[in-house]
Amino acid sequence: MGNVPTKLDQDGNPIEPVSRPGYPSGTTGPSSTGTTISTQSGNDTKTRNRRASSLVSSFLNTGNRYRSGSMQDGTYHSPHKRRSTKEKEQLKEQHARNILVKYDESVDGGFMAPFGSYSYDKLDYDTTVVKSLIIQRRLAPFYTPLQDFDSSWSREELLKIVDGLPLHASFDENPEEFEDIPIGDLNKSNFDHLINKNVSKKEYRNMHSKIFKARLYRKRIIWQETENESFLETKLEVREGKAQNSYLPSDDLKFDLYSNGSECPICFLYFPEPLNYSKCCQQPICTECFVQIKRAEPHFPHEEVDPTKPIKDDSEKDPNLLTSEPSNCPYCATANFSIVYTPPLTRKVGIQGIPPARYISSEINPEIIEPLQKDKNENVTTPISNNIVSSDDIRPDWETKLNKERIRLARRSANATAIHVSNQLIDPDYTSTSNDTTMSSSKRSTNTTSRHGSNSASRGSRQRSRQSMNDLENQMIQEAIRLSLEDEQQNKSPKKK
Amino acid sequence: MSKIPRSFRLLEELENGEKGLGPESCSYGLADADDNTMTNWNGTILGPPHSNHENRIYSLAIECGPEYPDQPPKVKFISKVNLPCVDQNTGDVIVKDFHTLSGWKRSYSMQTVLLDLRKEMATPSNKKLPQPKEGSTF
Amino acid sequence: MASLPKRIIKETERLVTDPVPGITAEPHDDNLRYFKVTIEGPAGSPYENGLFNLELYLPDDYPMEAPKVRFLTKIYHPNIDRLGRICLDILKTNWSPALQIRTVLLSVQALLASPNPNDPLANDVAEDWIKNEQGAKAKAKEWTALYAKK
Repeated sequence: MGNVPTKLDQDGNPIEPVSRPGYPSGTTGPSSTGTTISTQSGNDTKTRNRRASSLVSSFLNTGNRYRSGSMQDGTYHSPHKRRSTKEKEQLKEQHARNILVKYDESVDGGFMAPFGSYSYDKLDYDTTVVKSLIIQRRLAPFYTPLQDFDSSWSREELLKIVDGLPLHASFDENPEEFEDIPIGDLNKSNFDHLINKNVSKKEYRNMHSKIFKARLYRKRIIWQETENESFLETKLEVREGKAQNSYLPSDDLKFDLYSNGSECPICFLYFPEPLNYSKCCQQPICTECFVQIKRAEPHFPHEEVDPTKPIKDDSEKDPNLLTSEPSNCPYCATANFSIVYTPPLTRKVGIQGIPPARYISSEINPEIIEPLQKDKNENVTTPISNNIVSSDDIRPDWETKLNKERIRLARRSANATAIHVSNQLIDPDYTSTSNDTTMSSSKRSTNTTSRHGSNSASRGSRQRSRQSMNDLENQMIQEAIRLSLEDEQQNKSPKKK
Repeated sequence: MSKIPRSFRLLEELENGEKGLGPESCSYGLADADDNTMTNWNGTILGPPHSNHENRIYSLAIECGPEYPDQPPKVKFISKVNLPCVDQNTGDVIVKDFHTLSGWKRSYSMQTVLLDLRKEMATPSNKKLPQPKEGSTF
Repeated sequence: MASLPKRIIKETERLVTDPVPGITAEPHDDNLRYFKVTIEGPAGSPYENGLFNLELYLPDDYPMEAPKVRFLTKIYHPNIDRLGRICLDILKTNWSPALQIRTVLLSVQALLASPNPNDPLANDVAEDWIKNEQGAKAKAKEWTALYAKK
């Protein structure tokens, strides 16, 4: 981290990153749920005790939050600011606009947005960071790939192929995901009338988000098609001699780009050199593949297990153990994948360079041609030590995501235990079977031996609830449970995505 | 979108069921853990609240044939239940009377079926239907 | 994506033109992301002389996501369960987009040669393997003869 000039966080990151000075990337700040971070999984009872103690504070937090009736007062409970649905949607639209390929926004013959080899929902990198890295020539631009390359092609053959390249790959117009989702009139921003008013609040929100997604998907196709058309029309006009356009690449530029290229070892597509190269083992990678490489979703550390002992269920683990390692180099597995890019010296065209139409092969010094942008600053060329870009640099929100997942899990396990304890308060003989997932028959209600070893924990809490609580505490906890249950009803989201 | 083959789709469903990713109001699992064709499954539905099904647990048998998920599974109640879309003699869910099966889509899953059956139990016209003795089977 | 990515087309071609000894992989005509696979049991292992059928599927996000691979032939192995699921790190957390169908299948073959009972998928088999390795290997050999006939 630290190499990125500005992080405007404009593209759909739902929450503001928690500022935690003093904690370098890769380590974890102090826990926000009131439990301590444990470096190893510990034995079962230890984990349970830790969980139990954190639960009480969770109850009380939940209670406090509701009592005060204001979200702001719950900040110690959830350290991120919530954005309204509308704000989130605006950010998502902005993100969709930022990944449009525009022929008049190019750097050294490539573009500011990906060609479309990967699906739209996987383009979740920070577009502002990536664009600025491309303009600074610290990351190769998104070149339009060739499906194949044959070194025996003549200049004319190659130019003909390059001239026929589209700005963006074709779209899946009707993905299964949005098959039955109405999108209404895309020119109107309000689409509430598409949703049945009689459904529950949760279902309404759900439907709203699905329609929004389907509309955005459609809108983005239309936006990109508009760009494609404008590109095609300009090309035609220039070819017929009706107009001149400084953004369209000269034949020299097209030839120099594509006569000297290589295959990206990940997508097997052919790109102009120089590509990005892995810092550790100097293997090439195109920018479109590079922006796909990211940390794994937050997960519990993988442990080698003793097959003679029962496996612990994820729901019994401490949420603070959730981790997310930096991505590894795809070629040599070195941790914290980073690339180095050395920009072409003889080909500084497009943004902060000469107009692509005026590029002439390198016998002539390109510097004598007037730059495309007046505000060009030659001193912007970055020192070598700064030429490394890591996977985390282009997704600076990874830590926020990790913390969010920890909170979600902590809340879920608190809710599960709340239900459990409340059942015991109502019926002391109740035994939880909520962890019993196999359910081969209606055994669920009568099952007395839980498969995942949660029974000893439940016995423990039952004793606690019978003996050690005085009346006042009992009331407080019951109130907290009630609120927690309400909370769960509201928060239970049926779909993961 | 490419089409995920039957077996990997069923393995996905199995894993989601084992991890308990879905809602707690229903669950499912393989009937025979040794059957690598993954054809027969058991399902359960926890009766919806504020209905005659409240607190009841219904067992079902689900059969995912060789054409699943292009074709819907065969669904049958083991526990007795009084619903218009359930054959009162056999417990079979009647395809034409249950929109999830009659309008089957590849993206639907066993979880979709169970959740939609649960919704069926809670509709205004169905929730007060007299129900057979709890624990009886077809 | 609507069309088959170039990478999958090229990998498939290369599997045909430059096959891996002891391994075959061929896409289904109606689903070019879905492969019929056979792997010969490695020499010197209890699976020697067996021919194992597998299936392999390249999900939408391949190569950013690992291929899905499953044994169709019954096999007695601590890292392969009764449904044919394989516990292999490169298919899960250690997947890299630089790996290919070819390298995945070679790794599966290598897993047959060196089982790892400490990271099991089939707990009962792993337990057997740790407590009585000779017996477990004999059983693996027996199953190979029974189910993995060439």
